Amino acid sequence: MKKFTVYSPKNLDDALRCLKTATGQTKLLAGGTDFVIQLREGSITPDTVIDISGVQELKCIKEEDGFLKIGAACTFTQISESNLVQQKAFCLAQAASEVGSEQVRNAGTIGGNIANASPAADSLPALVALNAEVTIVDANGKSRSIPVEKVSAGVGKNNLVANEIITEINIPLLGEDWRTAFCKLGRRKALAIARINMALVVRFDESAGLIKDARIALGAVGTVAFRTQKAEGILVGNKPSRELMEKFAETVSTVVEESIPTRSSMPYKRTAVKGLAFDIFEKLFSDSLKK
Amino acid sequence: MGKIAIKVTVNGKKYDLEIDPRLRLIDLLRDELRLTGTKEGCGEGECGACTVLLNGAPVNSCLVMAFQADGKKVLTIEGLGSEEKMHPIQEEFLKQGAVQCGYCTPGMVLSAYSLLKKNPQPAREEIKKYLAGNLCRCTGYDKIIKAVESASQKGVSRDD
Repeated sequence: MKKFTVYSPKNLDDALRCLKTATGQTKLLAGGTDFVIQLREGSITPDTVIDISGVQELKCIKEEDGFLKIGAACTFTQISESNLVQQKAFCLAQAASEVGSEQVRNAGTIGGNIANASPAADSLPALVALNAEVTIVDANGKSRSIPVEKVSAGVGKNNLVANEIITEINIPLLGEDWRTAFCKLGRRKALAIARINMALVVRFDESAGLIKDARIALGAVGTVAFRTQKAEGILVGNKPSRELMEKFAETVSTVVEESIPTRSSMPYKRTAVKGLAFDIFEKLFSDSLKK
Repeated sequence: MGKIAIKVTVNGKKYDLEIDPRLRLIDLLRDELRLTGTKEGCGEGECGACTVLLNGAPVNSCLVMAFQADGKKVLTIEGLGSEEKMHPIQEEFLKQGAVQCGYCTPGMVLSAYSLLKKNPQPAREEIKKYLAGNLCRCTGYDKIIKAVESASQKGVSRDD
């Protein structure tokens, strides 16, 4: 392994200063759960490593100006245990609690999960369904904001240039009448890379018993998690019922089939996703289904 | 591109070290500090044999760069009990037969220790979830879970 220079900035200004001379051979390091593996297998060969895990500004979770704001270097443990995330973006807290293992959640960060662009990233469906935007800042302090699903440029690649860094994830706050859930299917319960993951965010009028709005995001069935208007349309304007749940599951199944038509895992995934659709529907509408 | 100076506290002992930037935390512990109680299994964060506590939280030391431990506290199995006096969790592991080949044990004990610090009376399901990042190919887990349960009943978390 070739040697590299390490910078360990403790605040954002220092981190941006380190980025001034960044090239394609500069790598940002946060939790390390992907980085260390890539470094050792030689798929990355940096000459400079900027360790941002100590940058204080990137480690807060706060509510501000109608947004839930999560610093890019927040760990999954921090996110899953945050009262604020549990209250305002429950599906994200759930997704965070199902990442890897306790050890991985203690190190891995949400910014790293987004930047590494794994198709199976667990935070992605939740963030996509929550309409999350990502703030990206360059070495000169200039910032831009893009939808979270636009960060990925294909498997393992992202759209950031060398002198940019993800600083924050911004989630528009939902009203009281919204409900959210996340479900994941892996080969085993813990430590599994998702075979399929899904987040569902709905606005539910309890008095009328009607679904007013719905956002569904599917992960691990394409290069990046995506919304499916087709399945959303099945839900909106309807009352949660067993029949609607069946129809929803069937639609999600066709969406999976259309998304990965040639993949060898398609026959499995198009069937398995139905179970996931049932689970998530039951999580959100257990009250209506009992009636 | 020389060495990096770090200050790290391992098992309560302070070290001022000059390290190669390419070292992982597990390499630092095993090869430089000769703390070979920490085991390397898969090297990719699947098995948890290399679990140590970094500022009190379990991490896979094979997935942390050594320089990231700068200014932090590391607890390895050597810091938990001694050969003369085992930690109560270790005693429960022995009593319950939760150790067979022993390779996963240091990581397993540290995860259990961290769990009981955080949650002194965990339910069985909570124990299972917390220890899910530590694989054991010998015991079938049941005895390990029993050991953690009995350590919990004895109020182990209050001991130190």
